[in-house]
Amino acid sequence: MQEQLNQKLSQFIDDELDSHQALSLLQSVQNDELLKEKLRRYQIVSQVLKSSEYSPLGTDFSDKIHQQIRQEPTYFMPQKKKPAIRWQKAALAIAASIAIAAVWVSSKVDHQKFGSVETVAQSTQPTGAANNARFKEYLQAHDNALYVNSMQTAQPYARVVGYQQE
Amino acid sequence: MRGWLVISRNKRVKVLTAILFWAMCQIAIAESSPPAAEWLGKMNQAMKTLNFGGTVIFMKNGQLDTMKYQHSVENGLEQERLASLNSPMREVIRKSSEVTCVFKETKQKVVNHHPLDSSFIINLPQNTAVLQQNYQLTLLGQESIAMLPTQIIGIDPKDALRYPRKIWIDTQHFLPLKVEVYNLDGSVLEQVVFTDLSTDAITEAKASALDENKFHVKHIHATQAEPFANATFTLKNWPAGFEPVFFIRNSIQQSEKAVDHLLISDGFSTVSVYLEAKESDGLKGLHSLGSVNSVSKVLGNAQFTVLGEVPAKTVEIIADGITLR
Repeated sequence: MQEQLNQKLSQFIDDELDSHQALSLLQSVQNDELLKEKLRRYQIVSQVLKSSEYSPLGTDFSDKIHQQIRQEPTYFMPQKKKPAIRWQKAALAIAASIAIAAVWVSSKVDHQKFGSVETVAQSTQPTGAANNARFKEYLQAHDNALYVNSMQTAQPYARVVGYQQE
Repeated sequence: MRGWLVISRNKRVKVLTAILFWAMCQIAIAESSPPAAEWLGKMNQAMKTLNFGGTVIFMKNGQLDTMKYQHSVENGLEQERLASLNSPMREVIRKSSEVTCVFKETKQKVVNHHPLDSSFIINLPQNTAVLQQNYQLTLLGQESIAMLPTQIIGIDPKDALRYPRKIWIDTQHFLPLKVEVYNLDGSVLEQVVFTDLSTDAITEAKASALDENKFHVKHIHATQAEPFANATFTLKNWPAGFEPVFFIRNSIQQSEKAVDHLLISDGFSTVSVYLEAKESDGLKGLHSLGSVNSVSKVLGNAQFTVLGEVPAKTVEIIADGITLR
């Protein structure tokens, strides 16, 4: 078991794991301090072997990144109708991946992991222009407070998120 | 425990006395501050009688709008004026229930003769005591907003059919300096925040001098409200606390088609029910924009749309209870 893990760590550093295996390994590393330290040692060895140079990084490097992410301000962007907990988990997983990838100096970013961003962008495309115009008129007739919002009052059509009933 | 026994009897008496004194102080403070409903009642009164103004930031639907705000009362008639500080430049004036929105850049003017007299800052019922049937009101400590001390009031619905809110009320004038509306998962949906507030004498809020002839004017709700009994539909499922505010037969569409509009409210949240003739390309299914959710359905030859600042589940429940008379 331990040998398998060591083998996987080595393959991970040499970029020989596919994205699923790499993600699974990163999750194991995240919960295991010894494994984290081992990965760090392997990375140093790999870096020194490849370039004869070494850029020292503190062991709390990823913790500091986590801390900075937590202190980021909240942006009030339109939200998709999905449970927040799933986003939190996804954000944590991505943050952990980024942090460890930053330690891994010779890493190459696997862009496929960020495919979900494209899905969000697609799902927030406005529905038909005529329907949006009608939605905007309903909003105007509904409440005075909507006049304060430049998005609804100034743009020709309100940008709405539409989805069909299941 | 051993450490406690080691302390001398005199010291133990002193510590217990201090704890007792602290507890009595807390009780005294709690008793001296008015209950949350009373804060809201005073806020309601202040918003209808005081002249005040300042800069307000509205954060709604992922959009941030900074506006100059002015509220004045003359001969018992309330007036609010909002002027945008950034493009798109516009000016919104509410005289009692009539709202005029002027878009200087596009030469458009919208006059909404809305039967409901509601503020741009916050919707609040006339009778705040009724709120407690459907909302849990709590005092949540004090904070400073716009460099003024405020009391935070928590407004938590007793069901999952409406959104929770928090209001930061100025302790001196009882004006709302900050309002937050939360989604059911606790995330912030909307914010309204004063960055400065003045309660000095403010003259009547006046619109900028405009050449009326150069503007394209659109009127909304120009007809008179009717009794709900005149409507061709009824609602079976009403979330507790919601009451009809007005029913109006109108033409709000660009196509000038007739639309029946019923508005119901529980004081904080309002829901509109629209009825129009069925169209092949009409609205379908659920739609969402910030805190506003809507659902459309077809019943016979009529198309209904239920829209309001409530969770999607609420508009669906109301829509499911619509029947034709």
